[in-house]
Amino acid sequence: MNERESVARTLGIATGVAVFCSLLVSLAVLWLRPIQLAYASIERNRAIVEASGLVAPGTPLDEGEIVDLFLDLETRIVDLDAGAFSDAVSAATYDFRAAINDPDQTIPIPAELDIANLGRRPVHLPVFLLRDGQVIERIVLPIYGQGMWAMIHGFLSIGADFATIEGVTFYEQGETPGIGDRFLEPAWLAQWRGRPAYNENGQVVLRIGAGQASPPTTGAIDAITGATITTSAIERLVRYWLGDDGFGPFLAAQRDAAQ
Amino acid sequence: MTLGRLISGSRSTLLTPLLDGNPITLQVLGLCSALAVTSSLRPALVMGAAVISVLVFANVTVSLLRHVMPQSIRLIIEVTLIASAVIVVDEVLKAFVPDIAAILSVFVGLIITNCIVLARVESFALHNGVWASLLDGLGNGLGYAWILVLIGAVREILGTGSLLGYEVLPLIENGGWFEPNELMLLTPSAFFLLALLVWTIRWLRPTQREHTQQRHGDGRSSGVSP
Amino acid sequence: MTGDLIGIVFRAIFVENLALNFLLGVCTYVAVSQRVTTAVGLGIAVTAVQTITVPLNNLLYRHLLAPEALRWAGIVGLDLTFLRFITFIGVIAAGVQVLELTLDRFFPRLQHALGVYLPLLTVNCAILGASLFMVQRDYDFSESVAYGFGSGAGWALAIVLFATIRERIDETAVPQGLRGLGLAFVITGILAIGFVGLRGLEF
Repeated sequence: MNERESVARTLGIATGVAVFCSLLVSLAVLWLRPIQLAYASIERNRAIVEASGLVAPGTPLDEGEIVDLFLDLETRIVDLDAGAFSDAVSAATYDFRAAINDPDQTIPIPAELDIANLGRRPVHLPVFLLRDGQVIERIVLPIYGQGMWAMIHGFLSIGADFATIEGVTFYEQGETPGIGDRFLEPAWLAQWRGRPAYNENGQVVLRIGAGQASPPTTGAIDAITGATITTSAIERLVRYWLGDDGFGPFLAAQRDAAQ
Repeated sequence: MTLGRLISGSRSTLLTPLLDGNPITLQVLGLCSALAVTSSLRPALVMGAAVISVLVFANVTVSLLRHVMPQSIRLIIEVTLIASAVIVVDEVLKAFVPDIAAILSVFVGLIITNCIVLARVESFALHNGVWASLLDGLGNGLGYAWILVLIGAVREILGTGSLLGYEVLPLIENGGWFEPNELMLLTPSAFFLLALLVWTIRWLRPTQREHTQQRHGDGRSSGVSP
Repeated sequence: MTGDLIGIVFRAIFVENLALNFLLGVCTYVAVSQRVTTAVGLGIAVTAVQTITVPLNNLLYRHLLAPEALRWAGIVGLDLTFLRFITFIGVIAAGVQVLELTLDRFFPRLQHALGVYLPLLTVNCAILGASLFMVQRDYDFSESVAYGFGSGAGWALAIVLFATIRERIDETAVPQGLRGLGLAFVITGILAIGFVGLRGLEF
């Protein structure tokens, strides 16, 4: 047998190449992973800062500015089941994105309540408060749900009355480019400002529907033509997080306390 | 080999794939990732750079191994090396230009199956020295990249009036005269532009003709493309 | 649930056609598809490979590579998604090998007709692309089966359409520089525009 083709040679080369490639790939990932994670968290913080109203949406910000603005907000943890602030988990270190994937930190959602198709949801979620002195002016809530192609992640901003939507931002999505992802357009997102999330009875009134843009005092937002599935998904995920299994009880308690 | 011959040999290895032996327009390779990412210039540039890196790495490593590589596992070793290079490139892009990486999405991974890489590795790197293989990888990569960049630039200018985000042709809505051609933003426009490009190149170099599969009843091919 | 699955199949064939919308697997068919019968055979082969490999890759991804996937083995905190390229290509190579053996045993004429293009399916962008899209869209197992079949069928449809047109067009008068490759691009472009009209259709 040809010297090159001997079994020992073949095994040797195969092993050598395998080891070399593994080292190469592992070293690259080890080096690059922290940089990627840092970018992801910067983008997330940018979305939080924009939702909080500290800057107008779309304002170019560099990393330092994002960090500074983010530190102007107070991060607190909310226990969704108890419907109240909680200190059981440290606000500074809690990684809610990791918690979402962790069976130990999430509980199953009853099927009839699971309109956002999540399966499970975390018990604790961070909220971001913009305070004026002691008074909470804005509260930013993390929201997410299954879109047409992938999970959509964003932040919903609620005003001082804990019942009116001041804005919404999305920082992660995988919808159809050019059509489904039009929900990122500033013009569409601007429709959310000032919409009531709840009526006097505490029921969620926010809707996204077809038709002419309705007056800003109602909870109805105009859908996007040709992106029915995506806009319906957004409606469902927002209604879920505003609802009884999401931040509903917490916001209701805050409204009561403010009275 | 005299120095003169060495230099001219290297130069032709580098320069031939740019026009006369262009991987896309002559060898009909690498189309997949070519067309879907060219709706604007920036992703096209990044994709071009990615393919050049993978091509050079693959050519160099296979060339280094060419004397010891056993026939039985040849293909799988090549694919492993290419896939590893692509993984590294993908992670680098996600770390340093994450917004472009999001646009390129699956197409970076598809460089593994990009016919150009495997074709050059099999037909050149296996039979030539390291330096020549490096040049061949660079040349073919550049030949691929300039087509991508050209199509990306044309599509972005005609489709949005801007290049790399800077307005180049004044849009009507900004008081100018240019009405963007939205067809350019759709993927089929890449095909039409490529067709025009091929036509132009073949008009300039009338001897170019790809090897096409002859029509035999049972699929036997004569003069198969690489 | 079945409605969703049928929706996935339809979307994969018409709205997000791998060949005409994402321009995947185009190399093979521009260079090859000059006989409709070969095109049909290739289309069937690709559909078969995809219906097998996409769900298989889905299982591997969910239970080995995804973040926290190795929980069942007691290993936590591991995210091996970066290995998806090499894993998927391995599975596809194996899948194509199995297909080759099957064809050799039961459909030798088809295998002979496809010739060298059968092993080349391993590096067909459309097949790898389908698995990568499956990851991006977070499909579960049954959705992966639907998507594997649908995306393969869509690609097959495109290549057969293309071959049919090409067989006819070769007999017309075309400028010399445009003959062959240039014309193939123009035809594909026009086909692609036709499919763009279906974009945004949500089932």
